[in-house]
Amino acid sequence: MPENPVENEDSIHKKKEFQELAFVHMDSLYNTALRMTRNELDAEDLVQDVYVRAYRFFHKFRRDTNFKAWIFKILTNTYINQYRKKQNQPRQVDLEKVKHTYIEKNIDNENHVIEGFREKNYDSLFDDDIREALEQLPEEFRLVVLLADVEAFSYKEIAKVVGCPLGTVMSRLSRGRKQLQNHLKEYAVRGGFINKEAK
Amino acid sequence: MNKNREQFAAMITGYIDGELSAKDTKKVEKLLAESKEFYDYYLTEKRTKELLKRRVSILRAPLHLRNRIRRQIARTGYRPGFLELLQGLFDYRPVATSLAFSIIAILIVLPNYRMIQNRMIQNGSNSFVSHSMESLPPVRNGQLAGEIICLDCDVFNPLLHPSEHHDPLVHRPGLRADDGSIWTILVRKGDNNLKYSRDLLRKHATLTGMIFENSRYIQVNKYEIL
Repeated sequence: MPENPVENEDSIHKKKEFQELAFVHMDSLYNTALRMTRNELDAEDLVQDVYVRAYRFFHKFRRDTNFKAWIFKILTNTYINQYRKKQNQPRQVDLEKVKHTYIEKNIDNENHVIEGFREKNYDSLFDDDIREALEQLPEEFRLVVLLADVEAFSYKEIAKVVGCPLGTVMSRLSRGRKQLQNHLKEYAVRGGFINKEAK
Repeated sequence: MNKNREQFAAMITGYIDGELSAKDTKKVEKLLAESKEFYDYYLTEKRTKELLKRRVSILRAPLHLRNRIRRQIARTGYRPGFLELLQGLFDYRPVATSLAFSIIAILIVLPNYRMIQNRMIQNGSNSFVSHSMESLPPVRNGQLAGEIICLDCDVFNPLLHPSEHHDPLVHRPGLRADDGSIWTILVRKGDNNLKYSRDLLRKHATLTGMIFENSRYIQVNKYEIL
């Protein structure tokens, strides 16, 4: 079948347009993929898959919407469909049904945890500790915290990316940050940055 | 009580991120002013957010990954959507594409129209045309124009030739309206001409009277043979 010069030109134009829109977000996508997969090789493969899918379905992208949210949605879906299964994750618990974990109860009740966290000594924590604390969060909380606090998405955008209602985003973010506080406190105590007060 | 605390905690999260409505913002501000516990909670969470923002570094995607993706995209053919394909066809060959689509539309729609209409006539139902009448009231004064028929001869037993058929005194008068719909004629007592006269069969007429849309009856007050 003879090549159609018009089609080739169109294809080149689409490639260029896609690269201009998409490549700007590669660092953010890679970071999020890394924190979701917790493995550099998997993160690279995931990001590559995301870009190939995004390019294939570029015709479905509406130009009046947020491209970053659109491609992050592809990231989330690709991760859930391919990589989560690959990593043989245990069956996810519906965290909304878990009213209160023991950790959260302790944060609510123990004032010294809250007091301790307000000290500036948390700045002395290594980046690795913060990264590890983040990785200890349950997946649903971790993703929402990353999208809100690292990638600066709005709640509406996060709801679209993650595929849950706005209220759920707020709830997961609140609980994710609370759990993160507790993990960071453990690291800070271990590192000797703060003292754990006796009850 | 715990559920309320969870709700307030979530609202404080929304307040920190500037995502609350004006009404909820005022509610939270009031809560923070009144409760030291919640105010401490707010400060703690705010610091957590700032810590993450400041300390979770954005790593650059490795160069080999960038290059790999560029090569992959260069190899991947762009797949236009169906509408884009159509648009491309119209841009490339507008006349030929329009003609082709028109022919396809005629070929698909026309035989199906006939089939549907025939089926409606066989079943004695006029639902095929009924939705064009949906906007009309169910009972109204009006006029219908069409061919006067015998419902038995022409609809239910079309194989019987009317001239050889049963006693004309037992014709069931009907109207095949100009739009194809079939109507039953109700005649007023004493007005038997429309009902029993064989001369009126197959004649085009305008019937005036009370029209019952849903059941496809017309109670004729007067008629005019065209």
